[in-house]
Amino acid sequence: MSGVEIGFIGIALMLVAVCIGVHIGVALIATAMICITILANPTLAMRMATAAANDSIRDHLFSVVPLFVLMGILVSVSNIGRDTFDVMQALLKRLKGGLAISTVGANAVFAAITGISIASASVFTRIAVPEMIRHGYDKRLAVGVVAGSSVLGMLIPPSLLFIVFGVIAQESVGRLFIAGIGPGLLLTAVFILTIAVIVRLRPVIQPVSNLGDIATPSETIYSLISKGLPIFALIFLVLGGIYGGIFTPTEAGAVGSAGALVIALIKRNLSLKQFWQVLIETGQVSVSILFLIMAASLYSRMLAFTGVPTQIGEFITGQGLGPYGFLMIYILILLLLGAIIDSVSIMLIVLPIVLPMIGIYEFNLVWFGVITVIAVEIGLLTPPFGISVFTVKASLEDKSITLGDIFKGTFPFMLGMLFVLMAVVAFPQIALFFVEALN
Amino acid sequence: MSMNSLLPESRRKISTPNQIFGWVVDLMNAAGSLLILLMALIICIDVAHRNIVGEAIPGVTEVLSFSVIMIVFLQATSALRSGRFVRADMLITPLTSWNPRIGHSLLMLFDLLGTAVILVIFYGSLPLMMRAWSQSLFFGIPGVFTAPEWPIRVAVVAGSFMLAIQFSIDAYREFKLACSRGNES
Repeated sequence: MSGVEIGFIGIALMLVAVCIGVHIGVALIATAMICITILANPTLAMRMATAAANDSIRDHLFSVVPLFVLMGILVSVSNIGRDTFDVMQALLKRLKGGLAISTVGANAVFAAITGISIASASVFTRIAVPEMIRHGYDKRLAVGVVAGSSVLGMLIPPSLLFIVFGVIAQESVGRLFIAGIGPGLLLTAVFILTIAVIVRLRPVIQPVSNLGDIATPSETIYSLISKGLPIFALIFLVLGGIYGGIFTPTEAGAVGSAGALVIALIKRNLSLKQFWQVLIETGQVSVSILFLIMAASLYSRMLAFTGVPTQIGEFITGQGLGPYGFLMIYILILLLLGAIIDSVSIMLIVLPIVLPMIGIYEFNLVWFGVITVIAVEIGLLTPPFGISVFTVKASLEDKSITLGDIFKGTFPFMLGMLFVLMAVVAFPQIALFFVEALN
Repeated sequence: MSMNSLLPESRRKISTPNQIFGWVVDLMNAAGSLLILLMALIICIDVAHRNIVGEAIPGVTEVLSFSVIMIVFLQATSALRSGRFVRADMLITPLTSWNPRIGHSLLMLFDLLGTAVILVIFYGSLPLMMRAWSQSLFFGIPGVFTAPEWPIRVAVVAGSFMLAIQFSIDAYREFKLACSRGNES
């Protein structure tokens, strides 16, 4: 068998193993070991696996993973999300569907201090869903809005996915972050528009005559400022620090964590025990990501060894596919994989194959990164495997809302994402405008 | 606020009598969590130092890069134990409820596969650890910052050993489930 044949068998084997439920990291390592053994010998397979385990993540860039996770979990326990939601609600409650629009707005603001979607999804499920249901919103709309807008967390900088893309593609994380701003704002607008259309088309909000004992707290200018100040201070700290040249995007996780910790301490809503739980949680979430990165690096070394990436590249260019044809196939593959596996895994599996082809089509790598991240993020919302939807379900107090309800409620927002994705493909300036403006 | 529900994966109930193993896993996990806190602290100090004094602290990048490996191998077992290793369950979950015997047997095979690949990494890392110790290897740039290499290698060897044990514990649990559920039906 030729190297390329073995490589293709390796890809097929890995996909089958992942689909039938082998741990994704294990599936990657095992197929890589098998392919290297067939190509060369078992000793080399062991040596490459050992090297991947010992050295592949030994890049200080990967240290950002635990730190961004820490920041995300810290801001989600520090009540900053609730305050942001309160402020938005006070400003927007007169609009029709104002609560849903407030949720999107609060998510967009919250996204500027968190780089992981699960943080946004779990925070706003606890805060916004009960509030919307109390005001007579359709349950599906309530959970759909939260799951849908949680994707803003990883599109508006800082973003874990842009960091992963930057590390694999060796592209500046700072520039990728800036490129996420335009599409992030556009997506926020599209989501708000989606809500405005839904509430006009269907009777999704039942009028509630009696709100019960808990009346909506009335906000004064003073209370709004005191609630809005911490988050704007954090945004200023994180984004101002990055673009003011005080620290690098990869250091932002650590500085942001410190900022979130200070705010939580001032507001006295973090006990020592809770803080310890935050640290344990951070460790477990980060390790599950880092283990995948480690496994994927072995797998991509194996692929490079077989020559499959060049072969696929030659095949696709040989088909006479134009750049847009190639992009459409690429996006389709990302969407299909997104239905089955998580965002980081998809990027780790697909990018080693695709990145060598970028040069052929002369794509702008930053633009390509934005397209990749949006497409991969749609997978957060599509069944059967949608992490954001799962997170909403896990954080829900109302257990009568099923996974199916959440997936259905999220559907209009997924369409909104597809629209933004196509818009960015058609008009690269949406992503690149801010990048070029800052150059 | 319960942190357990931040992620969708529910924590698995561990039914192993081996409490000491669980205790060691928790200890390693705690060490890893402290290391994350330490990393955040080091970066913040480095950022402050760079902006006030005007120069970076030597060795920060090196310390960070080796901390990440330590964290992975200190906490991987705990993550697996809590069911945090990512898997696609769209086929295996329905299959297991439809036919528990086949489902749990498959899950056992998957865990055995995990045991096998991790054992290979363990076996391959042993000589690296021995060499780092006997030849007093170090990392970093001589004259600027150096630190001994063996602590990372020990973490990899110990971590992969623990991870392999956890995979076999999981495999054994699936084996028992496959037997018991098979008898019921």
